[in-house]
Amino acid sequence: MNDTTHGAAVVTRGLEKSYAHPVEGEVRALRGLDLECRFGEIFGLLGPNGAGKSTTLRILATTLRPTRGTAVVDGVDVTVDPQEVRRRIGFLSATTGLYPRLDARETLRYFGTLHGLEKRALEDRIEELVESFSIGPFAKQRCEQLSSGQKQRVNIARAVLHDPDVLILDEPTTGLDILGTSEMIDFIQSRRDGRRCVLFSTHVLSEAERLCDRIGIIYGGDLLGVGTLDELRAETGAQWLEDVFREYVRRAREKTTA
Amino acid sequence: MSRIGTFRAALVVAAKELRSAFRDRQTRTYTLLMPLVMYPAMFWIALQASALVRGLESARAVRVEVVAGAGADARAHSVVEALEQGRDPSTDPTEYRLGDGSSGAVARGDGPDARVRVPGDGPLEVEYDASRTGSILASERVAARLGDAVETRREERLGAPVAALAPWEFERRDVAAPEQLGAFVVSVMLPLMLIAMATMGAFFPAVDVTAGEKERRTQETTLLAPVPRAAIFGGQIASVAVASAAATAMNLVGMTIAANHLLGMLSSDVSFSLPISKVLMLAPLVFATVLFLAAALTAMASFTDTFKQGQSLLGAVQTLFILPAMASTLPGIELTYGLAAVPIVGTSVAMRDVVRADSLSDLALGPMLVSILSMALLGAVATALAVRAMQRERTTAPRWVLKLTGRAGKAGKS
Repeated sequence: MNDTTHGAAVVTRGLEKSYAHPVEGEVRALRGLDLECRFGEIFGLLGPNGAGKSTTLRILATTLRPTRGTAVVDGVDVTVDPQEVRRRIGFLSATTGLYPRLDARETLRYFGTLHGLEKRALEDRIEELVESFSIGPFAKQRCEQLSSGQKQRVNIARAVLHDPDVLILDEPTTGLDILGTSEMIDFIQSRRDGRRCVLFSTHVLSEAERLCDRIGIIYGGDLLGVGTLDELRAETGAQWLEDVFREYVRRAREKTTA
Repeated sequence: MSRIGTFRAALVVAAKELRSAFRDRQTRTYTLLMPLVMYPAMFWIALQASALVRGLESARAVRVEVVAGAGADARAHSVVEALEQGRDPSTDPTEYRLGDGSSGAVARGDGPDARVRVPGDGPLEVEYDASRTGSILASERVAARLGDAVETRREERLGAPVAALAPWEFERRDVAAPEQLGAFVVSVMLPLMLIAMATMGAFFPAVDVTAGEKERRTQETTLLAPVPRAAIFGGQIASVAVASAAATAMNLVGMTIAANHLLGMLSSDVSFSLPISKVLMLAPLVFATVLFLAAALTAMASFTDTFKQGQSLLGAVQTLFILPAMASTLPGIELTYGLAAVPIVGTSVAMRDVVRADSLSDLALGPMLVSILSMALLGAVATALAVRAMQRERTTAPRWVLKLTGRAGKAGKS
C-alpha cells in the first residue's frame, strides 16, 4: 500500500489497445496513452463515447490486457501481477452487474472471502457497509429483486469492501436517476480523504467540474490534455469546461487532418 | 488480508456458482426433479399403454371371410366350424362367415379384415394386409384358432397326443435369475440415459456460467475477484461438473427405483436392484465422464454471448456427446482396450458391463481402468482448453458460432 499521500496511484506509459473485430477489422481503442493519477486526488477522465475511457479503466482493473505499453497501479504492473492489482483496487462501472440469485450479504461475503478477509473481520465489515450504505432493509432480498438504486448501493459496497486505496469508477452515474446520481457523487466526495485516489470516467461535464481535482481529456484513444480546471482553462483560453473540451478536440482534429 | 490459495478460491467460486445455479428453477427441474420423475412416469406410461393396447385389441371386432375354392365347399364349411368351435364372443369378437370373395379387397372398403381361401386340396391360404392393424389381428386370431383345431383333429385321428409322435419332446427353460434378466434389460438403457442426463445436467449450468454471465453483465464482476483466473474458471467448471453429477446421481436413483418396482409389474421373471458395490464401481466412470462433459460443454458455451445463443449452440453439439453412448445398446460390442480409449463409447460400454456383472471377476478390469483414465485425461485437457477459451478477450462470438447458431446467433450478437 502507499506510504505517501501524494505518490503515483496510477501510471500508464505508451498504453495501447487494439481489438480484432470480426467485421471492422483491427480497432485501435488506445494510441499510446500516458497518464498519471496521484494518491489524495480525484481524477476525472473526460471524453465522449468511444474515446477510450472504459478501455483505459478496464486495463487498469485487469479485465482487459494492454496490447502495448505499461500500466502500473499502486506500484504493481497490471500485466506482471494482475491478481495483486485487483486486491488493491475497487472497480465499479455502470455495467458491472450483481449476481441475480445472491442477496446483498452473500455477494459481499463472496468477494470478502476471495479478498482473503478473515471470517470475523469480514462479518464486521459487512455489517459496517450494510449500515453505511443503508442496505439493511433489502439485505436479504436477491439482487434480481432490487431497484437500480439499491443495486448501485450494493455494488459500491462490493467495490469498497476491502477498503482499497485506488477506486476506479467507469461512468458510475450512467443509468441512474437524480437521486442515485446524487448519492454516487456524495460517495465519490466521501473518498476525498487525502489518502486515496479516485479515478473515474465521465462524459458529464458538470460531474467532472464539481468533483475532480484534475481532469484528463481523452479523445480517439489519446490523452489530449491533463490538469486542474484552472490549468486547462489557462491552456485553452476558454472559461467553461465544455469550451475547454471542444478546444482540445478541435486541436486534435486539426492535427489529424494536417 | 492474506491472499487466498488458488484451490480454495476455486472452491469458493464453485460453491457460489452452485448456490446460484440451484436457485434457478430451470436448473433444479432438469437436474433434480426430471430424473426422479421421468423414469417412474415413463415406466407407468409404458405399462398403461401396453394394457390399453392389449385391452383394445381383445375388444376389437374383426371380420373373416372363408372362401371355398373349386369343389371345396364341404372343406370350407368344416373350416368355418373349426374356427367357430368353442369361441367365446366376449373374448374373441370375430365374425367368421362363408363368402364368395366378392365383398371387396382385404382390409379395404367393405372387404373383410382377413380372408381364408380353402382349396380342394393342399394348405389353406390366409390373406391379410400387414399395413392394417385390424387385418393383422384377424390373421393372428385365424392362425391361433386353426392351429388349435389342427392339433385337435390330429389327436382325434391318432387317438393319442400329437406330442407322442415326436422323437424328442423338448421345451426351453430360461436359467437366468430374475435379477440377471433385470440387470440385462436395464444395462441396455442405463448408460445411454446416464450420459444423456449428465449432458442435460451440465447444459444449463454451462451456459449460465459463460453466456449467462455475459448477458447479466456479471462476467466483469467475476473477473474483478482478486484470485487467479484459473481459480475462477476452474471453479465454474467444477460447479457445472457437480450439477451434472447431481443430475446423473438422481437419474441413477430414479431409474433404480422405477425399474425395481415396475419391471416386476411387467413380468415376475424380471427384477432389478443396484447394490452399493455396483454404485461404487459406476462412480469413477460417471465422475470421469461428467468432468469431461462439463469442461467440454463449458468450453463450447464460452464462445457465445447470450443465453439464447449458448442454448442454440449446445443444443446442436450435445448430440455429439449422447450419440456415442448408444454403443452400449448395440449387441456384440465388447469392452476392449481400443474401445475403452474412445471417449464416451468406452465408458458407456463399461457402465453396461458393470450393471450386468454378477461379480468383479466378470469385468474386464484393465479396459475399464483405461476407459476411466482416458475420460479423466480428456476431462483435464478439456478443462485446460475451457479455461484458455474463457480467458480470451472477444468483442463478439466467433463466426463459426454465429453460423452454427443461425438466427439465435444473430439475435444474440452484441
